[in-house]
Amino acid sequence: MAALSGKWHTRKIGVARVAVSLLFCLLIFRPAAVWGGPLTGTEYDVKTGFIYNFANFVSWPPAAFKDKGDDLVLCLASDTPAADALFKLNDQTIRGRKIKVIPYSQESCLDASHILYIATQDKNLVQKLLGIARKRNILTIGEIEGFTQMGGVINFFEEQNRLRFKVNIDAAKRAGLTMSSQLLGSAQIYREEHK
Amino acid sequence: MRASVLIFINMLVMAWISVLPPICGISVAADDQVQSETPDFTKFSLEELKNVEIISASKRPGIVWDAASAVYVITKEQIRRSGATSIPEVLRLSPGVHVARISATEWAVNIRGLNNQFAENLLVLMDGRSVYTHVFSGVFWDVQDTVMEDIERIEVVRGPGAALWGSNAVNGVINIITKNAHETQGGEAVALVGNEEQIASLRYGGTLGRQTSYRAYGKFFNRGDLNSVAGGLEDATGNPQSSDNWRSGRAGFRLDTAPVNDVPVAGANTFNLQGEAYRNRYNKEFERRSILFPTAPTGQGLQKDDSEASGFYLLGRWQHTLSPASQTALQFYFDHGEKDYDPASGKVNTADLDFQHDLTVAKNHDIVWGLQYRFISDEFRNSPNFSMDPQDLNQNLWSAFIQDQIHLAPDLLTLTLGSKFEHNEFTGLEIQPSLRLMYTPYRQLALWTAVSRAVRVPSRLELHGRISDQFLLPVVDPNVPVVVNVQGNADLDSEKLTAYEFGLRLMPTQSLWFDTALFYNDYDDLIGLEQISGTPPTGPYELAYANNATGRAYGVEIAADWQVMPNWRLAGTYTYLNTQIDKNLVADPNIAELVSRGVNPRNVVSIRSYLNVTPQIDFDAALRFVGSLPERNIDSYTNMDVRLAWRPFPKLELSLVGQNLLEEGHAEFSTLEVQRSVYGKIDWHF
Repeated sequence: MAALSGKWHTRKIGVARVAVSLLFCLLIFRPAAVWGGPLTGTEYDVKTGFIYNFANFVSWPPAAFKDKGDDLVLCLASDTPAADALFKLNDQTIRGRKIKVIPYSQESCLDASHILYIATQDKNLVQKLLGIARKRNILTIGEIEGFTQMGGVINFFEEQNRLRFKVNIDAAKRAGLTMSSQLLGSAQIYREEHK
Repeated sequence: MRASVLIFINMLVMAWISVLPPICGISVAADDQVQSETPDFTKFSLEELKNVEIISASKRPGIVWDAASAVYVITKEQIRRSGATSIPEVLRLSPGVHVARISATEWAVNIRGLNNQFAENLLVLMDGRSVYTHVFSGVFWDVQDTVMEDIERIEVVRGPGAALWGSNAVNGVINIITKNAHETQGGEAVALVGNEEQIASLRYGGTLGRQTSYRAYGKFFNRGDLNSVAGGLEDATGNPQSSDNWRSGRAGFRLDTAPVNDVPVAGANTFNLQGEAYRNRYNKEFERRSILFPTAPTGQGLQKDDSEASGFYLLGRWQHTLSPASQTALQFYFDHGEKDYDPASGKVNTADLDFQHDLTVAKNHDIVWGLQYRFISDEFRNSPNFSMDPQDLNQNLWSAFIQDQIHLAPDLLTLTLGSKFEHNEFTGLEIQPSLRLMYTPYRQLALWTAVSRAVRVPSRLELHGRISDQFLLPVVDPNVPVVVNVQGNADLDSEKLTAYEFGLRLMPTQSLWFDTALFYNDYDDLIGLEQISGTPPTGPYELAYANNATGRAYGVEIAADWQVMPNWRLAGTYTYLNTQIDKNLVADPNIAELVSRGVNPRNVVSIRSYLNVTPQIDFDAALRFVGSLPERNIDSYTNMDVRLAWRPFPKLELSLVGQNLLEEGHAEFSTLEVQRSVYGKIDWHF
């Protein structure tokens, strides 16, 4: 250790000067294209984009809709005020269907829904909702850590301030949902352990 | 006294109410601006969305919305962007924490109280392992280190945390949490070169099987000494007390069988094993000062000291899920530390076994209870200046705690009752209860209040130590040193605190929050010095420790955070602290003058700006004002840190940091000055 730090000591000034000048050179000659401006968004605005894509890349079994032109219903169970941004999806169309966002407090929210978005960190509530959604053709999306392990289909998580998502393929199968390769290609895949 | 505190609280509340409308007005406008810039993300592809940086209002960096106590969380992002290179320096980010650098290797860190090198009332934990030393009642900050990039977050709890954490968490708890091994996969190499320090660290993480991840790391640094203030003694080369050789090396590992906070199914088990070994060496040339009264020089001129510290620890944790509403955790650690430095030398071994059970009962009771056993064995080498009687000691510590969080009205009113019951061999059974109430009338407003009791068990030094000290006291005799002996007192009782707290959190818009805490601390049986005998003028004076002081402290801490624009965040903190400790019962006025329990600045203000110039470039700046310490002759200071970072590739970050830029040097706690520093850093993931 002593030998190593001795080496640092003698090189200290030289290395510092090189590092500093290198940093400045890189800053000055940085390609101009980077000045595109930062692409940022609030968490739920960006999630709106993700959910729109999920709806586009997931196929529900025919039984999930009564009619061809039926609405695609998203049931929002949330204790996070910020998640209200998801209501922006209302009336957008996807493959000929209108999206309807219904708050969980409304009766029959789950009965009519194709997507259940669970915006809470309350583990017990998540488990309760997943229990109700089970055995129905519902795409469950959550944000609590371990959501896929609990039997949820898609789980958002963050990595370096960017959103990522995990897909529980077995849970998707159980719900009768088919996912396109475009969706799975962007996802982190989770498989349940088979007995 | 109490009436004046009430008036003070009243005034603050009034100030709050009068301030509210303009704040809301400004921020609503700012929020609209943010919204108008929002692109339509439904037009984006999945891969494009994955590249959008999240401004996470719901995560509220720094704030813990539903905690009925004053908590501030320093996130990994804040640590990275602060440019701080050591744990004590990072703690400056939190409101209410007074951090002052004493010398190259020593910091004084404390919360809501009188600061000293061994900040007696503060408990510090690293990944559940207590790094508080019972010998001096404090923390050796020089050996508390790890790879900074591997720290997940630091939770700073101001106020008594004794109901959960136990004795010595009187004024606060600092909980340093490193990343789960699942989050540190792959390699990361960091090299930092600057005029005051050089650091290199290397970490590699991989997987063992499907669920288990590990990381192994090593870190070295070389840090420069501080200079003495103008007029101080100079060393042989003409530099005022300057040397350049605090060297530290450490290596460690961490193994996790499941990702952090994973919600496992009933019957699931997760394991975590981690360990580290370190060695520090510090050669200094210094002007010797009194051990007891650091403001008094000994008049012995410059002396050399080679300090050494080394140690290791091993920690294992087993978490078992009985059902989604019931989880247990069993933790064991062994910690060995030894230190050989100027006033003393010794070894301490600690073995700790901890059991905790979290369960939800009848839907609205969240109960946590636990049991703990700790064995502490120490061994000292006596010297003429410093001795312990007994020289070696084994101690057993038993404790139990229970806390019930009762959701009286879900999402509106929560009552938390808890207490710790702890038994030690010196002061017997210590009961430390707390009562906390949380009221959240709106989603944007949370109010809490708490009453709690906490104790500090006397340190080994206060119980069994003997210090023999000689120093110059010019008012007595400018040439002949005064001799002072301080004797430990095995009959000491614990110091006691009753704390009253009130807090308010406000989030007027998604892009703005405030967190305010008010407190009044009432201390009893504080341990001070008592004069037994004295033969003036030059002694020897015989002093002894005794529970002879009372005191109180009150203050306010404010943290605010404002996402001004999607790429610009401002964070500010303000701390006001007033401490009043009654004079110790030392009869001789010359000595009484020196007897001080420590000092704190009245006012501390900081403002930090985090700007993403582009997604690849950060520009961060921090300005801080720290009030004066008249008892130590330290002036107030204002200083600035600046950081510029660039990520040419996602896996590479280059940064340039300037610290304490406004002055060549400034003193923070002692006669040594913290210098202006500049460094460049390369952080490469591979």
